[in-house]
Amino acid sequence: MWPQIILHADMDAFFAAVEQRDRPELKGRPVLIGSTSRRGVVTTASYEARPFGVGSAMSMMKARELCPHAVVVRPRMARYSEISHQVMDIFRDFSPRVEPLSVDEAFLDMTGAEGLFGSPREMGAALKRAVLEQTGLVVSVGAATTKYVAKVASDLEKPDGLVVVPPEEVEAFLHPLPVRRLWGVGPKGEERLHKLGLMTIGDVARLEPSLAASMGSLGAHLFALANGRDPRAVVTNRASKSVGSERTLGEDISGEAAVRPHLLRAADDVAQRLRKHGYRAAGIRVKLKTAQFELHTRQRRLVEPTDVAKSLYEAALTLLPEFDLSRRFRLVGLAAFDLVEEESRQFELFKAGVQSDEHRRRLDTALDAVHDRFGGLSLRRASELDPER
Amino acid sequence: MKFKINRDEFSDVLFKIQGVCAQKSTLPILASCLIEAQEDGRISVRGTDLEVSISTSCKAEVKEVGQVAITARRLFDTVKSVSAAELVLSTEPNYWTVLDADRVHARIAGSHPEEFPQLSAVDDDLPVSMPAEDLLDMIEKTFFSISTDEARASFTGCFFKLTEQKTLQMVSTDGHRLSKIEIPIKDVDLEKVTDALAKGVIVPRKGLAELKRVLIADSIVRFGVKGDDLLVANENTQVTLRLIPGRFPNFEQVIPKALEHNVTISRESILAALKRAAFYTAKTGNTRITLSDSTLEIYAFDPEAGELSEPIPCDYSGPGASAGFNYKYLLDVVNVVEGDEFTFEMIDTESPTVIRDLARDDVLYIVMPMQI
Repeated sequence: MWPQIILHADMDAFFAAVEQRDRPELKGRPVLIGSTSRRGVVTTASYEARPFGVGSAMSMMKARELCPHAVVVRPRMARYSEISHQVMDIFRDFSPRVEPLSVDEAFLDMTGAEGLFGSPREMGAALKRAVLEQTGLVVSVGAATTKYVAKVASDLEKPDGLVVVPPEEVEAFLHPLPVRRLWGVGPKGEERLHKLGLMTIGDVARLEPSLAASMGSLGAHLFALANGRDPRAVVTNRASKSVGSERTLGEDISGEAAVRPHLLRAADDVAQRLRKHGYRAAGIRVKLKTAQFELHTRQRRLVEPTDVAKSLYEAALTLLPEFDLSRRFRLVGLAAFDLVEEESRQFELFKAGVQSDEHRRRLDTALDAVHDRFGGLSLRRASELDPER
Repeated sequence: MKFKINRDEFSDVLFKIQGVCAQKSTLPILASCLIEAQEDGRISVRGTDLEVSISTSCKAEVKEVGQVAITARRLFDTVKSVSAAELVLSTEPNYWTVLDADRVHARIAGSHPEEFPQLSAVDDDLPVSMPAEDLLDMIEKTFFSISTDEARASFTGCFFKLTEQKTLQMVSTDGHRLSKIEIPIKDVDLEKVTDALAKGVIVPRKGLAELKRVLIADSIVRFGVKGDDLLVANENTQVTLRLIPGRFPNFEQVIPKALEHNVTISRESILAALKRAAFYTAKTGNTRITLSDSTLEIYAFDPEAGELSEPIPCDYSGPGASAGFNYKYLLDVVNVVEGDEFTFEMIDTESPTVIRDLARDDVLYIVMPMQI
């Protein structure tokens, strides 16, 4: 039994992969991300460059000596951060409890989501598929019952790895690994442990507890990790939770009338997921990507948190005047953020009013019931249908 | 253009237009006010954000008539900060504007007056007159329950209606609570009241906030609806408010009939108790009120903070009842209650609760409960 299910998702050569995706001519070629100045270092090396011995934090000069035919690309942090948001949004489609560690990795607490996604291996596979389909990027995933083991697991079969460590296999998984794999052990610590004759994680795990304790707090920490104990929970930054829905369109569109139906569809999708997970959103973000791949986003807070499609949609419409809608767009998306858990609901004065959330919620929950029974496409808004057909 | 003017009077008129001269606007000229030195020995100052326009004037020693558009904030800040009793404002070519006050000599960049949007004139044909004090009072009693949610436009203003019985009705709601006030109007020319005002219009929140700023309490205010605007005139000031299109919700049907059992409570005791309870409400602000024999109990609970309960003795003798409320909604009402006592009419956990100010039978407040 898995007492809890934690995924660690780590994007493979993230910056380089983004460049290779944005610039197809770089695909399959060694790419080094970093500054070309004399003292520049490699921030990320694509997997094509790694067989040449190039790695992160190496000086760019050295890297170019090792791999002279590599393409050097100046980092575009704004772009990576934008893609990172997309990736994190995808993670949040899987679990409301996502803890980003940096732009390209995060923990997901999937405990209790077996009903939705299946076994931990199926969860990991679905997550990898979603990231690939929606961003074209590859992510390695580790699944385990603790953060530490999940993190080690995600790294083990990079790139494109999926390593699942069931609770009963933690020892067999961890113990043969070198002590360097312990969280908190760097080159110095490794040296110290080696001097004590501790070469593998198993060696540390088999220490007398009193000896481990005599090594101070770090010793106790390593001892616990080596034995597969890591009590740290996935910590969610409440404010960063969001639920998003976006779609790359079959053909580019322009003008408010063309954008509206896509927003309504996205609002339906987002609201449905909010209700499913028992959240209401206090903020909303509209995302439009131009035919030239520029991403434009606008967001606002809602006066009352809501989980109702029509209310999300109307809030989204108030943001449209802030975009230049004369441009052509290839993607329309809507995300709800600042999620609050369903607490005591404020009753509405105008229950019969079509503008009230209570009234609208009745329609939405009726739709939910139909969708649960007959599938998501069984009942749709007329505005979603193509008038040409 | 050139005029000499009393500093305090100039500062007063400039203050009145500050609220509409937005610093950040898509139209930079809207940060400016239009100043005109007139032949009649007055200067007028106009400002607008295109939704609310304010025109006001005061006397001055006009030496040369003319107009200029000038950044309202900078001019106001300068005028307010100088100590001279009088100052002189004049324009140079290219609309540089010079302000001289004792030793202070300021040159302020101005714009051509034609860049300033044309504002419709407020004619004198306004059908309703009332003491400005009364209108300000009505705004105070309704302002707090106007919605700020732009997605529900018709809730973002106050309903404004002149009834056939010659009363002025003002109602505001954000969908969770409602305030209503209705007072008789002595001076009204029913012939000239437009259909729109007789049926009721929605006056934007922003416009009401500006009225609070510019109306002089001990004077008479006149108003009427013309086209899409509410026109308001008071002494030397005219305000044009662009009305919110759309229909105000049918509020009459949600106002419960007076209850047989209600409780009269002292404003002071409940005000203090609500403020205390606020320390213990969770983020939702949920505070439970329970009525039982001779007691009104206020109870707040936050799983992370703790709980507080306070039974307040009262004259209640009806059936027991209990409901949760956002304490802020209750505080907002209690804050505008004038009398020492008010009544609280609670039906059940989900029905509208009515609060009546015992000192004011023309005012009524409704608050919807929250799920407990």
